[in-house]
Amino acid sequence: MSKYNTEDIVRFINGGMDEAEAAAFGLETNKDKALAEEVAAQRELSRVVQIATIKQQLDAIHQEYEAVEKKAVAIPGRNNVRKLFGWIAAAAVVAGIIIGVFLFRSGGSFVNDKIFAANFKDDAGAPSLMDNSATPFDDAMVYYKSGDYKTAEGKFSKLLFDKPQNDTLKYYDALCQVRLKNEDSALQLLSAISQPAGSELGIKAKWYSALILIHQNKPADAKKLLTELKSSGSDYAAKAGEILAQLK
Amino acid sequence: MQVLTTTMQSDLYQLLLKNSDVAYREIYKAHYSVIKQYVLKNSGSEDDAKDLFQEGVIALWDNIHSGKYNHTNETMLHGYFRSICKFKWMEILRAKGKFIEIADDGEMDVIMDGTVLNDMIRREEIDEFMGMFSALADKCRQILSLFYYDKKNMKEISVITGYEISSMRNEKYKCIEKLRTLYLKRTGGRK
Repeated sequence: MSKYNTEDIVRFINGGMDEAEAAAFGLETNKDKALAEEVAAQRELSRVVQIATIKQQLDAIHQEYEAVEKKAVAIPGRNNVRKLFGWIAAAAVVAGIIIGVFLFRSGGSFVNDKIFAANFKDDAGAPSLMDNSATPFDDAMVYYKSGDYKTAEGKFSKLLFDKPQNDTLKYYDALCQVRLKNEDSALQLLSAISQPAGSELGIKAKWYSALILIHQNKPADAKKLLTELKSSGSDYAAKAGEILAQLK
Repeated sequence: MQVLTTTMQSDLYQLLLKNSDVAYREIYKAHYSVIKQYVLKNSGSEDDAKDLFQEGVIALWDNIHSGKYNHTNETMLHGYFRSICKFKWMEILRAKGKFIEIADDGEMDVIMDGTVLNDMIRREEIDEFMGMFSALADKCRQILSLFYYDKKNMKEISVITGYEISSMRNEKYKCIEKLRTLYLKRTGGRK
């Protein structure tokens, strides 16, 4: 059995050994066929992981830049403003008709939407630096606070990939997901927050989960959380009580 | 073609060697719009441009790390990257049986060294790698990325993931074995 383990082999592949150690390792691979084969295998496995990781990073970067590009394109030029107003007016008439029909047909769902809209506010966000000492988290937070949820989400999820246990990252990623209309993902992230239910983050997670459930027309599930919040003595207790009274 | 200084290119080369994501951002900023225009002008779509760009970056990385790209010669890194993309796009068009009459090359008019560009990583191979990696559990992907890509040692990985070093070694071993099994299964052990 070789005296070298996987870490040594990968250190050798990455050029992390000093000259003497690398020479000794090289000699050993000449003598030990199994070790030589394992070096070759580790090279391949390393390549698989590295290339897959790069691909993921490139996807994230592309998504990020595409969001910025689309935002820039969305700003109408002067020549298009009149045309745009025309479309808006037409759209308003159509929307009015649709809303009328919608109100007529779905009383409960409309009330739930109203409750959601009236209560879902972005978190104030953590303080973030914008100078040279800014961390990737600061960077993501700046986008979140500026309302660029897509870019912020890309950055939070990338950080979350590196630190999957981090509750703060789950929390902000979830809030971005709500804004991006991915409410199921948001609920999953919020429910994965492992901090105690009574902690500040635990309470906030419960609050936002309740609002999402209301928006998804799941008032029974929302009521459970709101009832817990009502008796939590937290800042959300009074609001939770008000919403409970409004829920059909 | 945008003039890039040798210093900038050396820095980018170093960043690529170190697996820094700053490198990919730099390449994106410097080349993506040019690649996109090139593909759109030559029978491709925006999705094709994205795929081609990503494949080009991965091929560049692969050639640098495997020693196929020699930075000490006169080949310039950015020109080399565009050559890769152009070469790959021509291959794609050829495979689709499209008549190749590349429209005005413009900024893509770069020196092509066929010998250097031969035997590049193929799209199918990248997809295979992604398939294997995606088949692993999140935790395994994280551990293996930290180990192979970020080149973190066991202590650093255990701090990041929250595992004790001893159980981390065990986890890492299990993850490597899972990947090895997938690799052998999908590739039949071929290199």
